[in-house]
Amino acid sequence: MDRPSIAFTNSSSSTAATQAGNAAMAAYERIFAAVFPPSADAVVPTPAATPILGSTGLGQSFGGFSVPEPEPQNSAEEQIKWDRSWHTATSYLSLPNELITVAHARQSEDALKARWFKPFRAETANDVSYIVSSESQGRKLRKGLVKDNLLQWYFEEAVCRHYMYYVLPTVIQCLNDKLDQRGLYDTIQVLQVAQAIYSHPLKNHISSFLPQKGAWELEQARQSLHSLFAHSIPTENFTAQVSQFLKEQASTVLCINEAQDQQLDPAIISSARRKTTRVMESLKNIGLAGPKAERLFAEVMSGILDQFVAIQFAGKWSSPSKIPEQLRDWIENRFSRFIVEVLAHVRDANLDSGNFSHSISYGDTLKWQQMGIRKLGELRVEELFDVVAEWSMDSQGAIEDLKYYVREGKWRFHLTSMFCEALSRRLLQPGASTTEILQIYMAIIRAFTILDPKGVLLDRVARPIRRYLREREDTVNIVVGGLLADLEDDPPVSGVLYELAEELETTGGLPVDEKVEDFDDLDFDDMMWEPDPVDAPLEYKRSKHNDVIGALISLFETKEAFITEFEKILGERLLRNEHEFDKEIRVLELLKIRFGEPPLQSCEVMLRDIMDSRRVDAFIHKEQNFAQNQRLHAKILSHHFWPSLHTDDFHLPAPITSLQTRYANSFAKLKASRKLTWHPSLGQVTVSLDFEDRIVREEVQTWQASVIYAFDSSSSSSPSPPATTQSVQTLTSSLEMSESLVRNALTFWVSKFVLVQSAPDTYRVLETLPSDTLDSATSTTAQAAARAAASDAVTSAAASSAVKSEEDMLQEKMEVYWNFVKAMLTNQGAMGLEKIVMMLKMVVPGGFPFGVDELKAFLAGRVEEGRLEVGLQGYKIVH
Amino acid sequence: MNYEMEDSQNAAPGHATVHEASKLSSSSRRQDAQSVTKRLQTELMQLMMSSTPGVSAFPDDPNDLLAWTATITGPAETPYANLIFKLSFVFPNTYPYAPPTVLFKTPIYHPNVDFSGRICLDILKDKWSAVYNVSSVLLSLQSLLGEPNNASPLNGQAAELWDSNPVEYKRLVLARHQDLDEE
Repeated sequence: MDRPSIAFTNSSSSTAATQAGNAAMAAYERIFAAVFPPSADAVVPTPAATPILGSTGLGQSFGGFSVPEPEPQNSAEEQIKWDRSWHTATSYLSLPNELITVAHARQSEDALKARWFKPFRAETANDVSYIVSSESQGRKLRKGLVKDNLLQWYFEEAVCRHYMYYVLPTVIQCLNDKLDQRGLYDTIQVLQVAQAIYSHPLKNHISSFLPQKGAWELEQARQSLHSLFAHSIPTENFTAQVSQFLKEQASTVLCINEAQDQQLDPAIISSARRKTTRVMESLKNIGLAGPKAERLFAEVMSGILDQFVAIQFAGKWSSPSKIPEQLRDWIENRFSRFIVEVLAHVRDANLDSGNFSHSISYGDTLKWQQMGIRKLGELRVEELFDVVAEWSMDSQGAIEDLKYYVREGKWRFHLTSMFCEALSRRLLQPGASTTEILQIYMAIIRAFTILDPKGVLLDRVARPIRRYLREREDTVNIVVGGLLADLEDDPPVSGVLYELAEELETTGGLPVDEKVEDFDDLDFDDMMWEPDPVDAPLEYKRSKHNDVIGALISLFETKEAFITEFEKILGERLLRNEHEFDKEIRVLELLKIRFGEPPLQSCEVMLRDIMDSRRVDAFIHKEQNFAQNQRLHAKILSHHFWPSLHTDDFHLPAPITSLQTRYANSFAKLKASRKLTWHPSLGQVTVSLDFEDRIVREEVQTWQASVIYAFDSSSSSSPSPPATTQSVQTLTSSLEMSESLVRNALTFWVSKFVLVQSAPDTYRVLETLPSDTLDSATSTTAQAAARAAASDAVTSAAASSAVKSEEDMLQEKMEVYWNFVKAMLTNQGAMGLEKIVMMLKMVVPGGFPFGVDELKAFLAGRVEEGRLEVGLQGYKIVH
Repeated sequence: MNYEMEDSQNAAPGHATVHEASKLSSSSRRQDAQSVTKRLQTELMQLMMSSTPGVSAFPDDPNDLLAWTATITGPAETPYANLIFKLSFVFPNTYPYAPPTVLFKTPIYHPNVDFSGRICLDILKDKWSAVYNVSSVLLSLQSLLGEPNNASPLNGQAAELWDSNPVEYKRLVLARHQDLDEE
């Protein structure tokens, strides 16, 4: 029997627990009771048969007259008394319909008092005490009407109305008209005056009649008033003005616009500081401080921090960087102090007394410092491209600043993505020269190696740049040219990557010791070991090519591409120059360290060829005893090891040919098993031309020399009678030189005032220089044009290189492609252009580099030659 | 329990199971196909680099190098002078260890070629060696046109006429020949 009883007590206690529960119970009781016939003593005006309509509670009548409450005694008298007192009180409390203007607000306190404060007379005091007292009889009569609570009436009827009609317009006007701080000051002033006027009668007179001196009621009234202010003020303008004010004061107090070593006048700072605290204090007094203002302040301070970092540190990249320390110091000693100071005035002391501490902890300061460092990092990330682009030892500071920033994963990501974006926007454009890109890439390598020695960041930012550089055709050329560049070049030739030569000079170009790197992680005794950064990709291995030269050399997919280019440039330099090849030898040695000996074997042979040639040359000269003006020096090349050479063939002048024969004979004696094959187009000639009035001495190429030799009047071998005049056609046929080369040489000599064009395609020796050469040369337009063409020709002649260019190679390859096309069409029958291209793309090893248009042009040539014909089914071989 | 499986797992390690055997052979076949393709690619490149007059060949489908078409021009001073003959090459997967199958597509009147184009040539049969290639086969065929092997003819009439009646021989050659391109 125990159990149910326990259950019963439980349930009863739980239902009694809540009021709602009670009400529900009552309703249930009624429903329940309604089903049964009512008890006899209940008044039931309606038949029991209609319970659906609902019923009144037990013991209550349905309709009829309500029983009036017992009327107080002397009700009429009381009522009159109440009304009279009410009237007196309200008329005392009512406010005059008068605008509170800015001018009023600025009046002295006494003037204000005289104007707005009404005298509080004794009878008023009586009436008020009657109205306010809770026991007064009149209140009961007025129960439920507005007119029973004097304070409520005062606030709603008097204060609200007055504020809306006579204060708010002034405030709005202040905020609208004066966008400077006066507007804010005036607003605060007006609101303060209004608050003083409104609260005066309550505080000074009425509160004394209230229980506990009306502390609760006054607080209530104050809060209502403040919320009235807060909700009525035009928020946007007000916020703007306050934040503007705070910004100005804060920047003055914290001296953010001044140079580091300069300080503002302390008087100005302290006045700004006072102004701020005063305004904040007043805002708190009129209830406009609060959390909103605090937030506003926080926003302003965050902006100030941004501004400080931007103004003080932008573009200051000097190394070693003290900026992070400066920033920390500033935040700790000035920034957070100012915050503490201001917040003390903003925060409501009453609210703080609870669980809410208004003191700023040291933790907050640390947080701000971190934020400052982050903002500094963001600034540096934005500047990073410029830092790198203008890289020098002085700008290392910026990178040092960033070191603090890149400790966290997401900032690292931010950095790389921002930098890559800047790269693709500012650097990887068709407008940027390859040299420029390479220079910046070198700077990037240096900068990022300082920033992140592990190389993860470099790996990420270098990728797009490397990909882009691989697409540029001249990259290899410039890199190799840079390695071999002559640092003594004066003036520096544009487009040459001297930095690379410098780097080679300084670092010796030695790669980092790769073996040590490889076993990095296995060295358990390494006490300096650090884990890879968090954002390192899986299986990340520090790139071996973090040194500048290594990075550039490894740009190319295969070292073969690099070495082929190196061979070409080396070959060119070896053939062109006469000086010692120390530099070349050194670069070759360095490359050997990197690539190993075997791939560079032909370079080695090339260098040795040149060295051997000198010895052989000296020997032959000794044996043959060449005359003074008959010096023929040869470079003997091992054809197999040299890159393919230009072998334009033409007739050399007879004396040279005889020299060649003598030379070859000697050589045959020296090296019996070998035979010399001359390359007439490669070589330099020192030409000395004797004219009637002058001697011209030029260092020229062999073909240029051969052409001018044909004009030699003293030579008996020249076929046409007046040797001093030659036409392009005769030259082409007598020298068996290609026409373009002949023309090129002719224009060269014209530019040297050795030849002159006497008729179209006919040139004559300029035996005596006209006295006004320059004038006459420029006076006739024809000659001016000729000279322009000549200078073009000279540059093009200079550009014509000993080693076959890429384009020539392509032309050669085209011959192979032609064989493919031939075989294809022969065996597979006629084919359309597209199909030919498609087949070529699939069949040609290494791919077919041309498109439909190039092939069409090429095939058109073959059609013209009669080797192809175009039919309905496409191209067809003519047998 | 699958006992069969267990058996195969417990089989002596020296003997390859059926599974392994098939895997081995398939992979080696694939490797063969690859090496054949590679070899044919090299041959094609060689052919292209050194164009031999009167002889040319090209794959039918660049995706499958195992079938080629070749062209031979008849050597001068033979009954076949200036005639163009097309041939088909089909390379086995074992190439170059087995000879390609070569057929004349162009109808030809020749002692060593039958009427469906089959050729009787020792190097395409028992004398095949891996050092031969498309180019050498074509050159042999070209010379076969001028110097037929009448000892083992596929076309007895032609073998007989070659020696006895060159004029009639030439007439038959020209009568039989049709340019495939004209079709």
